[in-house]
Amino acid sequence: MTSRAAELEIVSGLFLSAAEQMRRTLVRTAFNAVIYEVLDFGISVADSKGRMIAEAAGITSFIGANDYALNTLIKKLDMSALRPGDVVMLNYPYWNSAHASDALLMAPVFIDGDDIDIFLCVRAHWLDIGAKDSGYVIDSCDIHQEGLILPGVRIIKEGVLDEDLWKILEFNSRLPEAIRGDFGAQVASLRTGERCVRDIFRKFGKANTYDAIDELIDHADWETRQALKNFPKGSWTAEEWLDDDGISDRMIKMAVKVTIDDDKFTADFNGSDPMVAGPVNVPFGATTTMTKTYFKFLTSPNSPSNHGHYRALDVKADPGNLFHAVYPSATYMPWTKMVAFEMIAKALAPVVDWIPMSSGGDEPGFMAVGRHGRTGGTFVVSNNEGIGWGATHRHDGANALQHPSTSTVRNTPIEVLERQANLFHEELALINDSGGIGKYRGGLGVRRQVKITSETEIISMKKKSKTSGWGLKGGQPSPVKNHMVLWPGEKREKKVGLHRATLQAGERFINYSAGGAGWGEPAQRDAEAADYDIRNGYVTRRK
Amino acid sequence: MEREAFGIAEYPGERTGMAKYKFSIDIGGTFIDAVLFDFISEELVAFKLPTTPEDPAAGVIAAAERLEVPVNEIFEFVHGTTLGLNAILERKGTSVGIITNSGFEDIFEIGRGSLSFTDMYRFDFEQSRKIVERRNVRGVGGRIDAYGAEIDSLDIDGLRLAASELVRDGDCKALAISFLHSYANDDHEVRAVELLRREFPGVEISSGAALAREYREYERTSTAVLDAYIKPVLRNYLGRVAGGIESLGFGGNKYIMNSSGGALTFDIGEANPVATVMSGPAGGVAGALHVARHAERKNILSIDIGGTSLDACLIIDFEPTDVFEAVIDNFPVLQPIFDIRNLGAGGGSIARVDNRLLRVGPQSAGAEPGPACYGRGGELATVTDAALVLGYLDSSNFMGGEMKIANDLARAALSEHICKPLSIGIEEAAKSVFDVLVSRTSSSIKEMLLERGRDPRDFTLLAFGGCGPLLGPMIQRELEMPELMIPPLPSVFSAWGMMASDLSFSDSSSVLEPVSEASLRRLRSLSRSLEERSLAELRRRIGADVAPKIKFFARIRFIGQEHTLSVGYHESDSHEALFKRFSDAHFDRFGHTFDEPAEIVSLSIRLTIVTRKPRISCERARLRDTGEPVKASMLDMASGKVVETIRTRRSGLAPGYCVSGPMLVDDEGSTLVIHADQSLAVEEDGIISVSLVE
Repeated sequence: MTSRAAELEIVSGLFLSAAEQMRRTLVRTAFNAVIYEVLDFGISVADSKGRMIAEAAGITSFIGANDYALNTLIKKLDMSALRPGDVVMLNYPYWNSAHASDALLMAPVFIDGDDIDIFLCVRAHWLDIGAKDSGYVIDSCDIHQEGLILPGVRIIKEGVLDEDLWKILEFNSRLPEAIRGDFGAQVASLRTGERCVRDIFRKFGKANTYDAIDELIDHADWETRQALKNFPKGSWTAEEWLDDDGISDRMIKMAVKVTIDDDKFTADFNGSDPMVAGPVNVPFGATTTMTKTYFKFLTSPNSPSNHGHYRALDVKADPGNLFHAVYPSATYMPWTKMVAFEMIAKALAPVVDWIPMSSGGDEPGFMAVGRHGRTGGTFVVSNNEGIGWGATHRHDGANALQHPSTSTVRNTPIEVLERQANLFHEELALINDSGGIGKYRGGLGVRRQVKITSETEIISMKKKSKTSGWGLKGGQPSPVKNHMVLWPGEKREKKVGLHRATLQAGERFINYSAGGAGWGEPAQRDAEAADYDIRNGYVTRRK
Repeated sequence: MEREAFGIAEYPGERTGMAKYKFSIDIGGTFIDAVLFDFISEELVAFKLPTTPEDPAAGVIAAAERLEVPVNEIFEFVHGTTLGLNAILERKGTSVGIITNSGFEDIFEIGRGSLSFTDMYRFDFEQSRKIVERRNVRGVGGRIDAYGAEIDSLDIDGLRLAASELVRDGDCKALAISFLHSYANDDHEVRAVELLRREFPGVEISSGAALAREYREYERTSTAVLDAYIKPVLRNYLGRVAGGIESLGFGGNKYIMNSSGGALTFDIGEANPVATVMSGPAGGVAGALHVARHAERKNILSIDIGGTSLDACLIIDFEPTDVFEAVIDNFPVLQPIFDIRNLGAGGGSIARVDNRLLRVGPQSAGAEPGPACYGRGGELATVTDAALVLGYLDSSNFMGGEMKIANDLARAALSEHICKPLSIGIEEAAKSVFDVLVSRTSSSIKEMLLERGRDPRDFTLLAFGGCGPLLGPMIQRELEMPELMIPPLPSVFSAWGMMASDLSFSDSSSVLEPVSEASLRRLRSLSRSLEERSLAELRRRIGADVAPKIKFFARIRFIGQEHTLSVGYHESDSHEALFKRFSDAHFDRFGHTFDEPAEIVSLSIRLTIVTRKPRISCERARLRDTGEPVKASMLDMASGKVVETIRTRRSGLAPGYCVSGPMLVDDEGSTLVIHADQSLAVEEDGIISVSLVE
């Protein structure tokens, strides 16, 4: 006697819970902190046509993280050969939505009979899959330097692990125990999902569940189109520059053309440079994910996603473009996606007043690798640094938050960095005056000064250190750019973006992150807000 | 009652035979719940009063005034309040200044730089008003390194200057002191606190390591800031409560609940108010724990369902699950706290149609305007309105007749907001509201259990709160849990649970050594000095000689991990035994463990003074006329049909009574709704046990 409206809400909630239960299983049992702390994973439940029904939150920009990969697998593999209990593994970047370290496991679910009813996918970052360098690869020139490739193979066959395949994986990893643990956690997550999905079909019946999925997708599509009605129709473009490809010094052009008409929102990246030699090329799946994430903010930031939310979205980039990497181009560094992330905002902000101005525009963090000065053990630590966020037409930008595309990731505490690595901190502070001025001010960036206590290799990770952000209606970009200064105050002082350097005990580096851009004429800033800024040192001098 | 079990030497008034009553008050969002237990007649009195938001202490005093027993015969008063929490949420704390290391003044403002999952796609995110203005942060010279060694000595003159600037120029009424690595060596913090207390006597002081000997500077700073922020608020409030009840003649012990189910003396609570921020829901868990032990149910899932929310907590093997980190309004708090999950659904949850879906919550009509049937201007359809339509609630006798509710208003709200847009009948609409709510709540419970690798079918469900007896049976059916228990007086169970809490006092020391033979030797001498120190402190605070129960806990992690697990420590432990205990706990919590070195981060001690507790199987005084069972009709969830049944008073059900559903059982503040596939049994102690019928 329950109403159809309740039944739809319940089915939707149960699929979401299936994804959520998969997430909790993965987070509970994963071995590596990149999964359970950084949440570097994507989890989804899709129907037999590859349409996403529900997903669980990991990193912000991993919306629809598995959609492209699943649809590629449906096209490339002989689906009729799959059996209950199978698990397929894929980390081939061009078919996936990420670099080679992100292992996607996919399991088909057969509710009854011989046809696949549901696909479950769990993608998670593995610590080592045999790339040329341990930790991170910043200068690869082709895919084969980035790790062992599994192009969608059945690693578990009807519930039994393929030991031969597993040996190959283990012998190609520097950290076989960690990958075994994380693989186990991913499989446990898939099994949890399968149990949940079976319960849903048992409870509501197959035909009824399928109908509900169709209706839920239609509802999401409706929701998106309602939101799109409030956008102007037309075509707008924006450009952004990536510092370089890690191999040469040449800046790389990125461009998007956004077109909104009655029934579509198109983001066309073909105005960007072609693929480059270094590892900054973006697999098309990743381009799609990045676009979906900003589109999510524009259209339905408060509701959980399904396939229908993106039916009105069309992403374009031809093979060979920077945003559609093809074999054998290098794709290891996902920074391109971050620097390009706000291009859609940049294109639309002149015509949509509530879109925020640019943030600091990058994830300007660093890694440190070395031998611990006290314990003698090796360490690898990393820190994602906060940046200022852009102002909107109603309020100031936020200070020192993670890049919008990774908004749920956290920075690393000083006490952790000092204890686990040779990084003695001398300062951590907001950079006064780093928020772009305007009627509403951009958020502030961060300065961090570290003295090395024993020989340590520092990898500065920045891909937007040469260009500034953008504000509108008189709002200014941040005067500070993302960068690192090595050996500050010494003769050999050096300003770097993406860079690897070995520092000795007593040597220093300072990491700088950019602020957000302002909105509106600075002269129109509310006097009380201006006083508040001065009183609290966010701004040190009056205009 | 055994004398030696009770640690405090003597109650006030005991020698004159006047120590008769224990009294507890829980202040929630809508009601003040008061419970009084008479240890001689073993009678329990319970009542509810509306809250007095403009002057919260007035409500407590009013409740004490309403008692019909001599207040001077109450030997113990236990209190739970959301006052500290509300002061944080509503930004009504005091002006706080922060003193930290020079060069690190922005640690509190920078935080961890992340957004919560609910805001993750808000790229236009607006930061909320700061609790501490940036101008009210001062850095002073002095530095401890990651191993507790002093790199630079504390700049005393700088400290003095910083504090006088903050107090004189910045108008700070409270100061939070937090230095890097104070968990490893708190010397600078301790000296700073001593100096500032001496030289700035009117200013409240809180410090990071004194509240949490934990790694992670932002989280520790945040804990100290929140503590300082609510200190004057709580001190004033407790002062007024104490003054008010003492002027009525009360001369007994006064306790306030902390967030992990322990009772603190008012004095200790005032000194560390951040320990009390979750004191309300903690009362319910303390009660659940008492029921678990008394009724010998080792695994309990407790759900406290009120007007706006559902709070769930697990008890596993007779131990409540707790965490050492909670988040309040995006601020981390490092304090022992029950792992209570707010699953966001209560009687006030609003149902609405969204295109072709029926949504229930998370918006709630709260107490004002409340559900439509309250007739206080609420027009939207809520869960309570749906319950009325389905015959679960009795409009002629709601809340034991204390409150008037109107059937027609409930029907009108559902009809307008659900029936019309969906073109469905009123009963279908009302049932749909429950179907959605129960399904979602059950999913959330499954998710919560899965985090610990557990299955709901291995737990007894304990439901209380005003809506617990209504929703508990439906959740039991959905999760196929073998047993549901409803305690006596479920709607005031949190207040009752406060009576079942013990006085507790904690302290800790940092260790920062690998688990090894040598470190265990040092741990033994550390545990002895910690015991001496904390016992002396507790005796000083209570002003009496006490002999509490003592338990030690070690916080341990694998080297390289950020988070620790707390495991019991015994003086006789070998390092192998301690490692194994930690490793087993790791396996239990995460499904795997490692054969790698682990380190002990800190050692903590918990002193417990057991209090006298009310019996569960008590006679309830002043019950209304029990009344005869009456005929009623209700929607039975098992058949999906409206069925004829009886509505009876809980007081009329004697121990040993068994019956199959459907059935409605009213008590003073709630209605238990049993469906056709459930049966009810009243146990010896008055607890109702509900089973699923095959």
